[in-house]
Amino acid sequence: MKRNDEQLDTDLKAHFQKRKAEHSLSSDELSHMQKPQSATPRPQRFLGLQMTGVFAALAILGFVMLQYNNRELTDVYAVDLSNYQWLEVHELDAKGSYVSNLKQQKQNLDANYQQALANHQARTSFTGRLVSVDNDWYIADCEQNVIVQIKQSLLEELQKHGTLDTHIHQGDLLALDQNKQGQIIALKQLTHEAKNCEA
Amino acid sequence: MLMSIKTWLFDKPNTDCLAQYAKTGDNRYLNQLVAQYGNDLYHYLVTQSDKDLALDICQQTWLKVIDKRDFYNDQNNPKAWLFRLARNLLIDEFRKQQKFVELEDNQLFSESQDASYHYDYEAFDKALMALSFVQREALTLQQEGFSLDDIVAITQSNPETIKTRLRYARQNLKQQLGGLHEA
Repeated sequence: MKRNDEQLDTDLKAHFQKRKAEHSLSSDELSHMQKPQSATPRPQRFLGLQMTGVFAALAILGFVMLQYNNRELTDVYAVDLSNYQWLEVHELDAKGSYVSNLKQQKQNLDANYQQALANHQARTSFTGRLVSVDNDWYIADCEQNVIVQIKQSLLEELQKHGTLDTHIHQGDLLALDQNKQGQIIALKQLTHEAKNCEA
Repeated sequence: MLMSIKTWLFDKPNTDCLAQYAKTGDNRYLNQLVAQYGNDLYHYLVTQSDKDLALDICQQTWLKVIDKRDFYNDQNNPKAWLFRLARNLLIDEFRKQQKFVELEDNQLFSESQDASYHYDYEAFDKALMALSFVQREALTLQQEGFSLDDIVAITQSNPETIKTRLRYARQNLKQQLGGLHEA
């Protein structure tokens, strides 16, 4: 056994020596191994970083261009209803009948309302005819554009302050005085001669 | 002043090229390292893989030395440090290539008596290559002149494991050679 071990040790040593002689680097291969130092891999890595940077920049540019193109398409084809003043709606209802509607956009209505409110508040006098009387009075302006509803509560208040003429009847022509806030402060009957709005 | 004179007179010059290279980054030391250990490293790698992969890993090892020189501690065995770098690169490459390497294998072919044999290069080499990766590695590193501690450091194993690998490798080798001889 011991002899076998000694023989194996000897053979192993001899074998590895022969093997190393057989499997060794040539002088070319050895000098090639030494080239990385003279070539210094750091610049190669730097070149790699540069290339990576270029590719990254191209990728970002491509992404930005894609986003820009997508935005253009959206701008052209996306519908923003607020850009339109009128909206026509055509449809078949539950019974199969053709129905079409015309809708004015809320923002336009809001704008009109604001304008009307401004006009209303800026106005200090108003002339119109008492066209209807129930609990409230309804006074239509001469242009037939505006109808003013005066509630009972305000009529009582005006009466209390003596700014509401007595003996006013339906069909009479009336003058409304308003303050700077557009609030009615007096309601007077126009003279009997002024029977028409033109007067 | 006295310390400088003492150092100049008595301190041995540092013969560790790897330590010099780590310290200075001077390529002359690296060239010396390649000349000194290049063939040993290649032989270890070619025994554990094949010629093409061994050449590739050799190249990668020297690049790694350039890259990691700051991590070298001059109290280490420079050759063992190089071999450890190379071994790690080789195993990484095996993993990339999805080659199965059994790193924990301690296979003993059989418990039969040692058979006598006559040395023959081809037969011996064939038997050596039939050993598992870790057993062949342990034998190769031992024949390369590394101590048990060095082999432990290179393979990142414990001493008992290395001793077992060496013992099994020898037994398997003898058995293979005996079997071949008998055949």
